[in-house]
Amino acid sequence: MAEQKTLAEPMADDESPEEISDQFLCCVCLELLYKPIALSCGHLSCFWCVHKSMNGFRESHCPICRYPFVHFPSVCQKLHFLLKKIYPLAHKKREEQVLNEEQELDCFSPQIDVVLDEPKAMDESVCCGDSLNVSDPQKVEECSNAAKLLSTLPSRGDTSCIPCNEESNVHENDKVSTQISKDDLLCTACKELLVRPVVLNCGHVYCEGCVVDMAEESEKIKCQECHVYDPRGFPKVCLVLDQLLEENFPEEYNSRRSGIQKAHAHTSKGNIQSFLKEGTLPVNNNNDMPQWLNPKSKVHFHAGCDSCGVHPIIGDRYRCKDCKEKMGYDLCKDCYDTPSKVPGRFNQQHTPDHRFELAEVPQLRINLNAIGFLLGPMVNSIEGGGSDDGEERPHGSSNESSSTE
Amino acid sequence: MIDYGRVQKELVDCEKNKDASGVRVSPKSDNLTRLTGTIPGPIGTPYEGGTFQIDITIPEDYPFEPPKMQFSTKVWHPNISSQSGAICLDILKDQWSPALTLKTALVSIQALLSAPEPKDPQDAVVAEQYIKNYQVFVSTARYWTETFAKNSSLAEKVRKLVEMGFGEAQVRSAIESSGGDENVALEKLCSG
Repeated sequence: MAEQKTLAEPMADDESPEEISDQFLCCVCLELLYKPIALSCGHLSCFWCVHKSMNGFRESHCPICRYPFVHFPSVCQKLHFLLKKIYPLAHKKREEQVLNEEQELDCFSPQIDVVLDEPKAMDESVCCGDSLNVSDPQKVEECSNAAKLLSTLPSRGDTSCIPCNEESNVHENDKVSTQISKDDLLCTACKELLVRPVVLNCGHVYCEGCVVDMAEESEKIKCQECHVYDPRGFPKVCLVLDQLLEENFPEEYNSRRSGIQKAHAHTSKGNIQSFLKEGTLPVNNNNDMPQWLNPKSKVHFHAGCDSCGVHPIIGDRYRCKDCKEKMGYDLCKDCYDTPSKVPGRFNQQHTPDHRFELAEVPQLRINLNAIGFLLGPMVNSIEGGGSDDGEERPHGSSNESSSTE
Repeated sequence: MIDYGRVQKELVDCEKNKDASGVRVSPKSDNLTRLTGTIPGPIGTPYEGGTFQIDITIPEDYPFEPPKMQFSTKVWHPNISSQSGAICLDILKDQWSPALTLKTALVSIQALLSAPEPKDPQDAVVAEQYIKNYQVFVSTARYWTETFAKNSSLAEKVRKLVEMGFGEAQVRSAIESSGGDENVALEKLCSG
């Protein structure tokens, strides 16, 4: 697995010296998975690759198996840091490359490396604050700081990516850090080696069996780590992770698996079936008409919920009035009603004291103007501070006429 | 912004596997937006023995948009326009997925050559012939393959140009300097 050789060798050319196993190549960009996301079918792709392949008008489909999905899951951090360990050089290269693209677009993926990977950074110049729950105003600067650091570093040969890496994560002479340890692959629920791992919408990984147990109590799967419900059905096993486990810890994996199969033989099957619901849009799914064509369905084209990830948002959409990022910060009605602690999907500096407003539903006109219209601003602000009665107020727009027919 | 990195990777991968797949992709221009794909006619079909060239244009949003592909070699097939070379294939339209590649798309086109879908035609004339008069269809397709999809041998090219009234030595050097392309050779001969 760890195809690491002598890492002290400086990189001579643009090519990464690491031979990356095919299973860790993103099916979309064909490069090392970076900030991987596991879809509900268990297939993996990079954060941006998933985002870019999503359909703004209706449900999206897995690039590999075409399995439909409507939620944009969070990055699977466990896998992200594993890949970083296994392929430090290729990962570093991807990090720089993606950050450059993000700076060009002025739109960022979750900065998990800066926030979580280098807790020692507190006293460094890249002060990244305390936790993922972003509330530090300085963090607005963070991405660009990190970017500056990256770009000013003497590029090749120097392996310490971000200053804070110095002691713990030096890539040069340490075989240890490039090998996977069992601790990297523990299930949060049973605290043992993952078996048949499934990745929840929040990006946390559990054994399939543990998720079945979690779901039995409440019909819905609530992540034990972040306490957020998975809004989708029962996710399928992530086979790439499964293979990684089996290859690296064959004995323990097999003994764990046979034990679990016995325990769950009669319970899990039925449950898994009944939980497979992902892919149907939450409202009106028995309608023959494509939902996004129905003017009553209130589809917010190309707008996703920053909490549960549903994309596009259907029904009420609440937009943050205080987030400065180009991407904005949106919530679907369900997430608006249940205040969530999840930070923005695109590294928005959203804090709980930000105010919301109800966003107007964009109108899709089936004519040539539709294209121009969709490119234009889709949100017209309505005063009302996001209170529910904001909906009843006269919008004075074509929205009214279409929704009342 | 086209993901040139990905196109580059695809080209390398395609080159590696060209013997196994028979499918090749080569850039037409430096910027990798225009490419040429080559597929061998499937064995056991009227296209056997032919080599078909496909013009590929990489759209702005590739790989989130399908590549534009059309035959530049004339081909007689219900799902390919005999006039323009336009291809009727779902994965090049709404069934495209970013996990597909130029190679997989070309392999799918090759499969389309083996398995025509006359009920969803691109070329109505060909499709009608396929349904009503299959034997005629087969011989027409075979004739088109012979005529348009086969590189004639050097001797044949020389003979043709000599017949046009050029000297043999002159013809041979023109063909050689134009890389075997008889049309380019002809232009050279004509321009002096």
